Amino acid sequence: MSTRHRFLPLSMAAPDMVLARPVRLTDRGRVVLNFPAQHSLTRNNISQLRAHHAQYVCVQEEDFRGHLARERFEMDQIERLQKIFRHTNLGDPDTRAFFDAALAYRAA
Amino acid sequence: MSALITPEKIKQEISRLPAFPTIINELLAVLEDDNSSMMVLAQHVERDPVLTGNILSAANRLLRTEGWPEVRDVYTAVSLIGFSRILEIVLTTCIANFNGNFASQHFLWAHCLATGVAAQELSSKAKHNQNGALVAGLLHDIGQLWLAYFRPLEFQQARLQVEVHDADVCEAERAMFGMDHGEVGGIVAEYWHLPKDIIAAITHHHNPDDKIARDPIVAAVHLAEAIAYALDLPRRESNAVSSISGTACRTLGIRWDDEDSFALLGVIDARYQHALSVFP
Repeated sequence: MSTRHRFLPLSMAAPDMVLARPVRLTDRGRVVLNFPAQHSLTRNNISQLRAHHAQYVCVQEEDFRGHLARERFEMDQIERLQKIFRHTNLGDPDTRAFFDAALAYRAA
Repeated sequence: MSALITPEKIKQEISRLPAFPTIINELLAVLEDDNSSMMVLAQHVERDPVLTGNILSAANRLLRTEGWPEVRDVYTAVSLIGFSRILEIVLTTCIANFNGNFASQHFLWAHCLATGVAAQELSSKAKHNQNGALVAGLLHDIGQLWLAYFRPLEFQQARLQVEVHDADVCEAERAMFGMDHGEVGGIVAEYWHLPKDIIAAITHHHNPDDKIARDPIVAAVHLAEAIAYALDLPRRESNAVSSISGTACRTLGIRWDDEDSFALLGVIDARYQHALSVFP
């Protein structure tokens, strides 16, 4: 089973979610909270994150979609982005790179 | 049909708009200095109970999501949330209230909030003026509010060109008014004596030329709006990126082929969802 990374507002974080990226919160240069990647969040951890005003976490989730469903989802994202970029010149390297970055994020 | 407007006409009519909150200019002038910013905030809190109520209301929405009890004064909110976050709340609340004077669609506020959050995040990454970028992002479409307020029918006709006939928004506005909402917004921002870089960011957010895109706030707002559209924050069928300035990317040190760009877009997406719960 493959996994995917999702950035969530803290209000959507739940116990047992696994961090895909470390969380390191500082206050006036002092580290006040430090969770490594792969750390499994507990209810207490989420309260600590709230208390220190964290706004988001990046978690990893198992990707239950089959190959076809993933491919269809990516096609939908390409179609949507082509519509959003319809007034731009995708031959321009900066515009193309931005399009690809947006696609990589949306299709993940 | 054409309803040409001129800079003089815009300035004449601005006085009929609801007053722009003076605290924003005062805070922008002293943002780098926490003590001076705190004094400005304290002066306004003492004489403006409506502003204080609005700040407390947003602060309490934030505190509730974080499991804290409600607070009844701004100073307790500062001690719980921290001054830099309170500053963001004050700036965003003032602009949200100002926008609330207009019968505009919720979409426009949500779009400005997404652009503000993205501009702030881009500036933070590039170690530039984050709060200036936040204000510029929140106000970047102020020209649309002017047009919708003073020329509602013509504004709707220009929107129809965009929604139904897929016209570029700036071209549709130029055909109708002789100038686009960026230019109108720049004149409004100049009338309000906002800082020059914020005026430039509002004026040129759709298509900054290479010289203007070297200003970090102009670059941040231009790219922030493109991100808001590209990620559908919020979704509207007519969302459209008009251009991407390579100079703006380089001004902020952003490489879209870098693996960090996934995290940058993710953080902006999550922070926008969070901000929407505090400033609905």
